[in-house]
Amino acid sequence: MTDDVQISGEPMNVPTMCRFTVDRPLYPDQSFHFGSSEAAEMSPLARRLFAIEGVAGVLITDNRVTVTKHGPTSWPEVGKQIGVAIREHVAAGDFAVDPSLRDTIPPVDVLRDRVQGILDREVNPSVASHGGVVRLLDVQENMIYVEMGGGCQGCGMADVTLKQGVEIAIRSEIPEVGEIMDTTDHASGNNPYYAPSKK
Amino acid sequence: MPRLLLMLPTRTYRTPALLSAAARCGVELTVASEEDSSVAHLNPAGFLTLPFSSPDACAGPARAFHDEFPVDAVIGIDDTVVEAAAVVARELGLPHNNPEAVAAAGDKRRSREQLVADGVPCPGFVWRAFDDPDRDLPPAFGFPAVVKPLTLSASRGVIRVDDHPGMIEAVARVESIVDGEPECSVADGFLVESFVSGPEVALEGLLRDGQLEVLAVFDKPEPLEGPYFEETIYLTPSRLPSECQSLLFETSRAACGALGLTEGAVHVELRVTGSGPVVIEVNPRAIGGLCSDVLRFGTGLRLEDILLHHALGDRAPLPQRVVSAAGVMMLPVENGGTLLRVDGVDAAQAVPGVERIAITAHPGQQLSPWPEGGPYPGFVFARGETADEVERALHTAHAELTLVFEDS
Repeated sequence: MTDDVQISGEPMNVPTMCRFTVDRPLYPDQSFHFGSSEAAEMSPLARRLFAIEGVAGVLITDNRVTVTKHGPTSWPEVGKQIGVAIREHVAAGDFAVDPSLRDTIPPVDVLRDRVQGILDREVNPSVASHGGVVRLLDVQENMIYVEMGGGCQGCGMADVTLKQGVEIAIRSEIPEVGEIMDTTDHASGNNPYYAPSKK
Repeated sequence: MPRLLLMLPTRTYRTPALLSAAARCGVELTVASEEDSSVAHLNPAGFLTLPFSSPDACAGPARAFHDEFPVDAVIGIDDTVVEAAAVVARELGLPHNNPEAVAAAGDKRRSREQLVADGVPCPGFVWRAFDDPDRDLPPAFGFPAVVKPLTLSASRGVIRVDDHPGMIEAVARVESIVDGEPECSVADGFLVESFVSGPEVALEGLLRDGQLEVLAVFDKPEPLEGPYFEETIYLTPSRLPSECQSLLFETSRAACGALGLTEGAVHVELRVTGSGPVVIEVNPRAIGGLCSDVLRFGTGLRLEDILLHHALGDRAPLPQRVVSAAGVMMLPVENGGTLLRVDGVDAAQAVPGVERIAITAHPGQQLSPWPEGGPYPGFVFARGETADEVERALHTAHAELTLVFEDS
């Protein structure tokens, strides 16, 4: 009886995201993010959600589904369609994420070596021209923790370097990577390549 | 997925807020700056180098980029970029301000002339050349007056003068400031304006198809009487009566119309006088520094979200500003010098109502007091039930902070 499936929607701090909590596990104790409909090929649940106009991202974690949307359609309207999609998914009895997808995440030590290789080969020789360096601090599951130093620490363009350059380079070579976290204390940088200089 | 061209000067404070908004909007992003990125080779669609200081020269490279990676929206941030953004958007056939109107707004002489021509209240003024032997003569409208450069922002180089000796000194100092600023030229001359007494306010608005909509009205509760005009506190909602706020809106709308601005963010600064609002300046950009962080709309949208959605063509009704009071203090530079550190951040952060402290100057950075000015050492943000409560929180937090300079 899918009508019995209880789903509550909770707007998030980020206005384009909303978290839907379901009264039963969908992907027990595991998590996977899908940034496009193409990437969702191996997730029947994410495929249903991407079929809804405006849905741009789906994070499935245990009994929660966090949806990112863009476009003018309001959350109440999109939320109803998401509720229907989740109930249809539960009724179909499909797995939320093909178990084989999880197996595609490389082991942590392999991930660490590959990310370090990208930093050594693609990133650091370039940012060194601005006196900067990007260090790999840790890898946990598929989460990457980096720290920016030298001219990158406190630089006005550090975010651009990380999100538009480093992240793109890592994700294009290792699509299984999850979040990439900048742990830098940018306020302590005493030699930023570009320091904010005007109002 | 639409592609947004974000034109960001490398030294702006605002990069993280804009990148976050772009991520929330779910757009493909290209960041254009005036300097090459060291990692551009990793993401050719993600970077573009444009000569912001020569706006017309931005059109060609932007067109070539657009032919390879089609752009759906353009946003320019900060005074140094808005004219180039208008040129690029026009070149790509996207919604834009007339670059001429943007250039006029960025030139205090031209904007004054256009405001006067359209009957928009603004201070009396006279333009003078620095090499004019009569440059120091008292203005016909008498003292007090204000001497200011034509293009600098954040009240840098703006000096009140109350008599002729003060005028001589101020003009020499403004000349020195202009001479030291790469974005200015002494050949541009300077303005002498009548000093307009009264509370100063800022109206934050969005122009959509030529229609001005108000996003927020900020009070500036610290008296800005001179001799220098370093800004400190912005508070919203305004405590001014609604009739007065309506007049502020009407005057701002008239000012935008006089300048020919039709699209995008606008930040209007006005003085409230007994005979109505007087326009001090109209900036075709959003509020500067990190100050936009005080604004929340609807279910938590930020100003950058509103601006990005507008650039992407969203013309849905604007969400209401969140009702609670909010404010920001731009930390005063005090006597300036080489900054060693800022003490008391934790105590300031613990003040009830304080949302966050952002120290944006880095250790070793040279900070200059006004009128030379810039950059601010940091920002304090607070929220509360009332504007009074927020103002108290900002002052209390500021009292906890100590700027430690090398020489102090």
